[in-house]
Amino acid sequence: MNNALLEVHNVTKRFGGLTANKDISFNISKGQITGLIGPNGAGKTTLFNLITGTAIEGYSRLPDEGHVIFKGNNITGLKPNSICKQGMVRTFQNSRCLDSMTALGNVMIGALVRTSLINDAKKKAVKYLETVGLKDKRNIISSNFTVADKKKLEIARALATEPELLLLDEPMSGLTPLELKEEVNLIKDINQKGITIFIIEHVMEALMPIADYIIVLDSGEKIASGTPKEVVKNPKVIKAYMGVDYAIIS
Amino acid sequence: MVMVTKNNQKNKIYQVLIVILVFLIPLFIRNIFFHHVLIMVVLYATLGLAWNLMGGYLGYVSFGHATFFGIGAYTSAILFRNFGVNPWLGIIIGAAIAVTVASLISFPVFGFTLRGHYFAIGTLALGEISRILAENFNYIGGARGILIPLKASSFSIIQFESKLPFFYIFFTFLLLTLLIMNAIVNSKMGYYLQAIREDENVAEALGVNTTKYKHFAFYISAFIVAIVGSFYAQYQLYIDPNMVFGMMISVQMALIAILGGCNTLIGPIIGAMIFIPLSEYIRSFIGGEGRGINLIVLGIVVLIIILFQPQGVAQLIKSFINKEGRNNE
Repeated sequence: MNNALLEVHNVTKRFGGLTANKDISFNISKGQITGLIGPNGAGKTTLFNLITGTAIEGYSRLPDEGHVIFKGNNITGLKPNSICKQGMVRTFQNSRCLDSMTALGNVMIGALVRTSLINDAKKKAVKYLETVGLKDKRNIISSNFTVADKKKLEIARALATEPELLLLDEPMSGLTPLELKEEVNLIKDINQKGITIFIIEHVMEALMPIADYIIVLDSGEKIASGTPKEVVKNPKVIKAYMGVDYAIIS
Repeated sequence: MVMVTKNNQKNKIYQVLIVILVFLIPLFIRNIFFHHVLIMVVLYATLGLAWNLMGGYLGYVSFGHATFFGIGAYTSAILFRNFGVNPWLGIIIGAAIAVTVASLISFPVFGFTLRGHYFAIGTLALGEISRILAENFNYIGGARGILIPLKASSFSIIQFESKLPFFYIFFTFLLLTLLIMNAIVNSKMGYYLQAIREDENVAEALGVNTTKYKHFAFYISAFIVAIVGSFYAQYQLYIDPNMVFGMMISVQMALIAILGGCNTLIGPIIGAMIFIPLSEYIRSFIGGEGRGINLIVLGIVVLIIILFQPQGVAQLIKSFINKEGRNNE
């Protein structure tokens, strides 16, 4: 049986003369943690936008070529809200909270996808805030949160939509070592509850131990994929990350 | 939790007392001009509430709501004058036409995701276009406006010799609007509108059908504003394009909601209670000689509030109540 939860087939996206994603194909297997790495400007977030149908400032949100299959259905071109209803949800790179709302309100917005009753949503929201350890801060306006708490809040909010696939865009950047450890544990816990995770990350040492599979992008192209061990030994990856000289030495 | 329910009960009692008090006030202060001011306060409070759903909760600041006000006013007036249609029916038809027009506008506007300043400019244009159209539309009297024929005083055609029945009808409608808005704000839709205001992409990613809810908010807002427009026409018995389609109507709706306090239900009501009496009394005090002076005074008050209480007057009261609550604990 096909074990792929998400299939990306030959996706290409051009921004004028710049090709942000070029003919990218891969599968994400159910239950795994898949990492997406690559230097700045490699097209990682663009790929996330295309998969989830997120609006792209100044351009169409549709891929120029290729298509995205989620749970066997073609979801290319669907709006993010219907993709979310099908069980795929994302977070954003720079922790975008619904600033004037409380933490509880933020998470309730996620929970309201599955219920129309405010009290149900409230109960669920408290549960997910507890999962990420923000239960005591639930009545605080979210714009007052620290970076780490904002990231947790975003994860709680995404979890409240009860996803099968969770896309995390740089959930670990800008965290202190202690916060990083917490965040990694949180992601592992979520995965163990049966949620498949697709994660963009720059902090390699945090991602490598938890990822089952890694995809590497550079200048819009997929240059490598495989287990973390395979990927770090790939000369193309080393070259992309460290520069040409380093690649020759190793 | 016990404290909370006790406070809620106490609040409910206060609310009922305030409503009864407002019902009684015009019976004790029997001054016709005072009654007129009360009526205008109630009408504008309703307008502010309807505008606030769009401009406050959804965060789409409209400067073109006079369009719906005018449509409501003209529809019921023309139907009554030319075809003898009962104004109550005219009100419903006017509101239906306003929603139809709103939908014609909202599809291109929200389809191309007109946001922020561009939405404000777009709606401003809409208001001005409808005023100019009305001025050049001879069938509805053009720039001369129309008189609504005076018939016998009766509830069934919303014509009365005294101002009091108008006040009670409009006040009842204000309460109804308040109840509807309260229900919306505390429902899924209310939460969703606020999420859209804060970040449309995030809301969409979390499963909020942003386009659908923007349309809904626009229609509800237009519907209520059109009804108030009809009421206003029945009350004044004369309307012209500048009175009901004019930019001042749109701007005043927005000002009342913003300065009273956006994103609160009490804000637009407080806004109307401050601005309408101020404006009306200054105007009557100065008379025809000093036209525009009331606007200067209003401008000064607006400046003071923007400088010292940018979140609106309602916030002042809220923080005062919170302080009281904390002292009680």
